Amino acid sequence: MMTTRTLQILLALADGPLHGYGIKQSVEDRTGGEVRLGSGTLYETVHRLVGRGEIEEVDPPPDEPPTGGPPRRYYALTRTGRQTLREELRRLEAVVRYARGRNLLGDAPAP
Amino acid sequence: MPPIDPSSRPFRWLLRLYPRAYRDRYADEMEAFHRQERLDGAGGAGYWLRLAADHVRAAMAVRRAKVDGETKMRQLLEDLVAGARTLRRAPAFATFAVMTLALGIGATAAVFTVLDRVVLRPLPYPGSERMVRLGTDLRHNPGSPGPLSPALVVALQSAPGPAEGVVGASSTGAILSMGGDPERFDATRVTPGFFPFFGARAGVGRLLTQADHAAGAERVTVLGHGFWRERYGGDPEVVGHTLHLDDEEYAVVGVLSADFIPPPGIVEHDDVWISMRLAEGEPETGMFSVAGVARLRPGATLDEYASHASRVAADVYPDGDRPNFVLGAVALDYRQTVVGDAGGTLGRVLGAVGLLLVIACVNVASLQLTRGTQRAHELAVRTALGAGRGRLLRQLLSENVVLALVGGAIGSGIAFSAVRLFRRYAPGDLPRLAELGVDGRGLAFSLALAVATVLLFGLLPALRSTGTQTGAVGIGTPNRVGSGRREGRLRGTLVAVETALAVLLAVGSTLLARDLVRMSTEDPGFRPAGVVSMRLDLAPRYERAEWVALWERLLETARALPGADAAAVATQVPYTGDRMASMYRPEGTGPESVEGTFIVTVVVGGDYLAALGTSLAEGRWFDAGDDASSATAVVNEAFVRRFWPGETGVGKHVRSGAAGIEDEPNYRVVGVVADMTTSPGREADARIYLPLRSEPWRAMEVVVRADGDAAGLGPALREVVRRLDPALPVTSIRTVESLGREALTRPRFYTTLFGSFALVALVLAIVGVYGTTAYATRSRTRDIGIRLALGAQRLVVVRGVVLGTGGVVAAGVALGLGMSALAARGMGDFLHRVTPGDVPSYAAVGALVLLAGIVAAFVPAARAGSVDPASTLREE
Repeated sequence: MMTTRTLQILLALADGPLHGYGIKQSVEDRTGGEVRLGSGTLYETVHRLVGRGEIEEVDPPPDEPPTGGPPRRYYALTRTGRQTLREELRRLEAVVRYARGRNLLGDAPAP
Repeated sequence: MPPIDPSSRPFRWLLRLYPRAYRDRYADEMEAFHRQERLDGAGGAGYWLRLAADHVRAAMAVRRAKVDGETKMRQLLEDLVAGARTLRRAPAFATFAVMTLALGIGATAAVFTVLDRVVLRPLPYPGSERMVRLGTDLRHNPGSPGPLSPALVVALQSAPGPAEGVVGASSTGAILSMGGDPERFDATRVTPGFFPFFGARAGVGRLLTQADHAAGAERVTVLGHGFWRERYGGDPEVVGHTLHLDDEEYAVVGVLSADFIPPPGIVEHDDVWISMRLAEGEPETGMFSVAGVARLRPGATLDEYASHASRVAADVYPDGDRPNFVLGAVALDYRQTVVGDAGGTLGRVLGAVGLLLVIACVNVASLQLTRGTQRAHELAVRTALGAGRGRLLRQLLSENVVLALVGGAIGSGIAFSAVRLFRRYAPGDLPRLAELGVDGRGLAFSLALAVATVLLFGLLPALRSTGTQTGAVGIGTPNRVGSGRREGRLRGTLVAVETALAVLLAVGSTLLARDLVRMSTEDPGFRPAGVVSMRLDLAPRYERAEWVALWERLLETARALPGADAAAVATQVPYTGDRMASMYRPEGTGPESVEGTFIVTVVVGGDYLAALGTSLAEGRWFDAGDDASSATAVVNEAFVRRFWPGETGVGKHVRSGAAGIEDEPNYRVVGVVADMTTSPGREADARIYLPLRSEPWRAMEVVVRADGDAAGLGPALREVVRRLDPALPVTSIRTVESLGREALTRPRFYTTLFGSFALVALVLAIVGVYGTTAYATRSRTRDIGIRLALGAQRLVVVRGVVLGTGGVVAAGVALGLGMSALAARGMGDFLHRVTPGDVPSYAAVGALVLLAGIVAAFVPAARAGSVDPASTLREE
């Protein structure tokens, strides 16, 4: 089972390469600020995912606005990462289906 | 560089929490991140607090991950502990699986150890891979190294050619006196340089030196370690003691170390070692008694040495002087001569025991499969709760690893005892048994086997079990999950395979058993019950001229013993004695009549026919008138069949000696005696009997037939010898019946070995059949209940289940019989009295296994038939 943070980072990268701060923004936007990523946690997770081969460092896109500092590092999902993400989502789907089958979400019409 | 934002200094300080390599890689990025956050308006005490907490946590995580290997190790350990815990919840299964695997691993590791030690390992001597066995090339046994003569040894030692060294040893019969009764004893005589050649060390005192071989040197002896322990109680002060060999005094100078293993095939007795004196005068050219070994220089080839040795032999024996049985010299790979065909024998044993291991694995696999199906529900729930397939697979596999490790550990123990048993009971014709013992290699092999078994029995069921679709969860009861047709087929296949393998082993051992029974019950051509045999050697106390009179005096007193019916002496009696062969030319038209051929010769005296309980086929037996001047002989029926088929033997002539030798007797055959077994399962070979009076002999077997208990005659017989000459040593007194039993040691050993493999295999296969049927019926309880409720006959239901399993068993039996028919061809040299295609063996095994399989299927089927349909349906 994957941590929420990991799942969110993989989700953020599903649409294309992002740099660290871009990931943070994407996650916070999507979750309405519910999942927040500090610089420490973010890079620790990134480091781990790179180690597992689920994401990789890629060249910055040509249209990146200059920041004045050294070019930022961009990360993208690998094939493995995409697969891991898919499996995790399927698993969640099964959980939800299981829960729904027992009316645990409380959204089924009363029998 | 942009100007440094003052607020990033504490941030940099925070970054120091990370390991250096990590900092080098991500510090810039994190700083940029941080700057961006600040630009986006983050700040204040809350922000800094969160920031600090975040980095402390992350840094700890990074540092923990650094010891990644360790973490994995811990995870593995946790998996194993979890595996052990699940197994503890299924103690019956775990115990059965562990014991099955332990048995398979233990037996296989034991046989591998024996094979490794006996066949694969180099001999335990320095440069042993370059050692060659050296001997004379014998006319009647070409290619096998016959003994060398002292003259040849001297010649080969002084002209080593491509060899580093040449040594030899001979066994020399002597009478040993150490104060008590004189004993017949075989001392080992060795050439100079023998001990260093084989890397032998002294445990006490010293070994023989060059000086001990010199002419006129003091007579000294070195004792074998076992002899020293046994006869001198391991006395460290043994050096200086003397012992008597044939009335000569020998001073003990040392004891061999305990770890010295006498070179097999060269030395027979590791008791008393004395020096061979080759330098004394002209070395003997006519006596052949020395077994020789040479060690080649690195790079020299066997062929080079063989041709060198042949040239040396030709110098020692120029054409005219060469004894007629010697063709020249021969050099063979030493290890090969020692190991012989043991590799083939042990290889087949390893094959058999390997089958047992496979059966064990298949059995555990099919049980795991069954459990896996039962656990499908549990696994599906786990999957739903977030366990990935990899995680589940790892968990199931770690359960199997636990099984295999425990099985492997117990198996190593089993291997250890099994090797000891093997060493104790293995037939004496297996070489190098003295070197046997379980060692690191054997244990490593057990471990490797354990790992391999995990893959064999663990992976398949684990893959199957975790392949269950998560979608199936929650829809049905556990009973219904995964009892798919595919699992059923897989289980059926496994059962069929293990049945087939068990049949294969059973057929093999049945063939051996039937062969053994036939050999031990066949008519040996004489009556062994009630016959005692005693070995006696008159030399060196008596001269050749005295031998006949002494034997006859001995026979007279022996015959007069109370309880003795008849007495005889013979150089060979069935199962024991010297097998000597000489060259003869039987009259006739075959090539043997011109060239001559070797025929086993038995010198006999006394009442031989009555003592052994055999009979004449034609003619007469020897009487007092048969001596050297009469030149008479008796042959056996096999002799007549071989040389004069369809004719009478009486009156024919057999000339002694090879072609060109005309001064030896031309024996007239006066009688033909029945064939007698000399070793069970072997066809009787042609034999010629000569009377003691014409061919006096020094060492003979004294055979006496008792009218009652044979064993009781032993002490009386010993007394007879003592009265004749108290200094004459008696070697052994045995009943011929016990010798006959001993002669069956080898077939009995292999029959027992294969039989126990087969028994275990059958039990495992039957358990497999039972387990599978029980499972299949259990998972169909509901099905059966409905059918019963709909009015099906119980009998029909039971029959359906039994037939289903019976079909699988029958397929296994058929496959097994087919494999047996192929495999049995490789067993030909184990079998003597049955053919590898012996139909009754196959039929019996097939019927037995089929029957056992049906019974094993019937028990759970009957239980299924007694299901109460109402309660089954209520459960739903």
